[in-house]
Amino acid sequence: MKRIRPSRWSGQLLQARRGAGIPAARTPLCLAIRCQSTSSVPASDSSTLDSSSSASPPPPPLPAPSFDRAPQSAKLAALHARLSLSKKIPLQTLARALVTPSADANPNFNNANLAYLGSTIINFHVYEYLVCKWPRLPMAILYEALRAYAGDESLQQIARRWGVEAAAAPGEEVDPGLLQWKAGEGHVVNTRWGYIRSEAAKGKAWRRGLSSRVVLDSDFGDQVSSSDPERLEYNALQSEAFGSVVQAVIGAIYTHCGRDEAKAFVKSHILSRELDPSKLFQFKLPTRELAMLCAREGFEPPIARLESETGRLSRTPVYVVGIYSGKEKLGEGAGASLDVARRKASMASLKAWYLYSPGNKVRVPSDMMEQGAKPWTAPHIDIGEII
Amino acid sequence: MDLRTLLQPATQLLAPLRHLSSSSSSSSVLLPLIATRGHKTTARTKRSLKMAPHDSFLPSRSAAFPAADQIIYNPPASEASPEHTPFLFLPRNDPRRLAIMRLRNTSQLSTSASSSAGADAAAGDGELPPEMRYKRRQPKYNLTKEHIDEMRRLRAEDPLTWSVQRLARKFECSTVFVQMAAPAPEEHLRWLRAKMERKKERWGPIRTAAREDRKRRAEMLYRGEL
Amino acid sequence: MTVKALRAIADGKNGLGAFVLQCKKLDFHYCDWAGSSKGMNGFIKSLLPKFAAAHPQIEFAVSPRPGKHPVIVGHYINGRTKPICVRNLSPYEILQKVELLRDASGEKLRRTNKAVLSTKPSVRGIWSPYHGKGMAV
Repeated sequence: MKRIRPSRWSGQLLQARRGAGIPAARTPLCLAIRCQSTSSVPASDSSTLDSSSSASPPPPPLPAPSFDRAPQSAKLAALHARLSLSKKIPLQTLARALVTPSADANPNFNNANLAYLGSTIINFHVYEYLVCKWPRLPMAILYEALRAYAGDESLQQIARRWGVEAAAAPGEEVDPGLLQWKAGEGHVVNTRWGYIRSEAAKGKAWRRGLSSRVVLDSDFGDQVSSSDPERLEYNALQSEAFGSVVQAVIGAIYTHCGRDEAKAFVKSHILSRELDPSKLFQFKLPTRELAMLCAREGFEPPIARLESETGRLSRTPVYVVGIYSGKEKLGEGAGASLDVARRKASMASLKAWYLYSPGNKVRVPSDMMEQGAKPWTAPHIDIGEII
Repeated sequence: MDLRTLLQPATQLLAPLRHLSSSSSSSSVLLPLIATRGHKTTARTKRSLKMAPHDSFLPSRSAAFPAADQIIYNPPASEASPEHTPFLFLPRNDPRRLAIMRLRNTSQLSTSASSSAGADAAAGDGELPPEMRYKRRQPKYNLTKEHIDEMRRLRAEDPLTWSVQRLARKFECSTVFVQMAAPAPEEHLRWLRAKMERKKERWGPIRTAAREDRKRRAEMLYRGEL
Repeated sequence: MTVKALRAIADGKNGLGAFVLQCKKLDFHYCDWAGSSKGMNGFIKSLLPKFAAAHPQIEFAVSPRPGKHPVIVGHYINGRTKPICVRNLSPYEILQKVELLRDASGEKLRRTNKAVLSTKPSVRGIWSPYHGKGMAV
């Protein structure tokens, strides 16, 4: 099979080669010794093998494809072009973004560092967008909304829609344009950051409130496990591997092209995804919560009023109940019984409170980093959750 | 419809005649006969279903033609969505709040002359729908420390006679308050639980399933799936 | 604290934000000897280099398949493939087929009778008989 890549052979290839020296130059204190040139080693090996059998044995195969082969990979070049990445990002960096720690444990050759950098950038941009767009979202919903955009499952979907494919098994001979990962032992979780709590030893059921999660736990409010990391399922490991590709690509963009490019990339690939935050709510005592909200905000206590009904004596009645505070209507719901309709109306009113949005074109703090940005006007800041 | 089907063969017979005597006086008589066709295709049924917009969608024609700009306010006949934040929940500096306040002020001024739509949210008390009757918190704060001591004494003395319901009725407070202020002795609670267990054991499969379904429905309701 | 959160995943919309071309690979199979591959050979010699240079986001693979009709196979991001037999076609007719494969989304062909498919709920909501003032008939 011949592959035709005329455009790559002429211009971009040379540019990629020129940038290939960057990772080596940036890690002068690299302690790991690994042979990066695969072309010359076998030739010298075959000549010396006859003369002295006690010479150095052939080096063991690399755990992942060498980055020298990155410019020859058509898949990699196609992925580079498909994402319309800048020419400043060499193919070698993109190849490195596809090597997960499960394939190559050496941090100088896998994507762990780039992925951690990328995850911080993604989470920052998604989080500031969520907080400015829906300033009243409760903390639990905010965490799940962040996970819906930037969690591993979501990032895995993104990577798959970029056309990233996994190799059957990682190895030296594999095409560098394929994702190198395997589900097995020796797995390192590298993109989570948090404190190990003192009460973690008491088990999973023992959990503190939400506010301490902001400081102590990971970005998604998950508890960081202590000495023994929990065994992840195959699917979770897979989504983490695919997700790390997206994170590493964004880390690479930040490294080579800078802040603004990375932000534009996050905006177009991650924030452009569609999420309805009203689907995230699960209530427990909506009527009581609404009454407490009205008491806290100084509104008149909420009263349910029957707006219309039909078939009260039939098998399928419909009641439409509206919740009013004074003369103002807060929300309404329809149900097959008066109680269900009232609870639905309370939930609708609470959602109307929580899903307040200043508008679709909200400004986020990172907009101020652009050149010639307009003066900052403070966004709406909510006083907090209803306890 | 009958008349039309009867007329159609006649028009077919007359069609060649019409071609022969074009621009004659007979064509003016035949034309309406040919124009009436059956509703056979979707296009024709769709065209016949085209209706003029409702008056509320059209600008008012009370003034002469080059009148001032007008906003057509025509709220949808659908359930209110939580996407539209109610007036009360809008923060102080939100432009929507100011706009609604301005709208209400102008409509209040104009209502003196003629009643208009646009201020239905801030309707008067008489226009609000009827209140529902349901159990809600009505704090009275009528109990003192002596009352609570008395309540505890009665409950400890004879928890069977002085049930939660009965104490709540006697002291005019809620059952929740009784449960908090005067909890029953442990053995009484254990006895109640055992009684409930015995009752549950006698439930058949239908009743058990119905109870479980009800619980599941409540969870679905709170997740917004129902 | 009575609100709990449910898990969800944001839904990707290709073209809203970034657009990723769905065709990721094109396979060209030809035969040096057979007459039905005459146009395909001409296409590979004359038109393919320019087409490949214009589309760096697609991976191109050219391979012989002796004694068979020429075939172009498109591989798509959703995992499906779309093969087209191009026997006895002229190079420019083959180019049209290649452009068809490039522009395809990889989904099964389906009839659309709505100009726009929206995932957003209607602005005015679903009509309900219990709301609104009603209209005198």
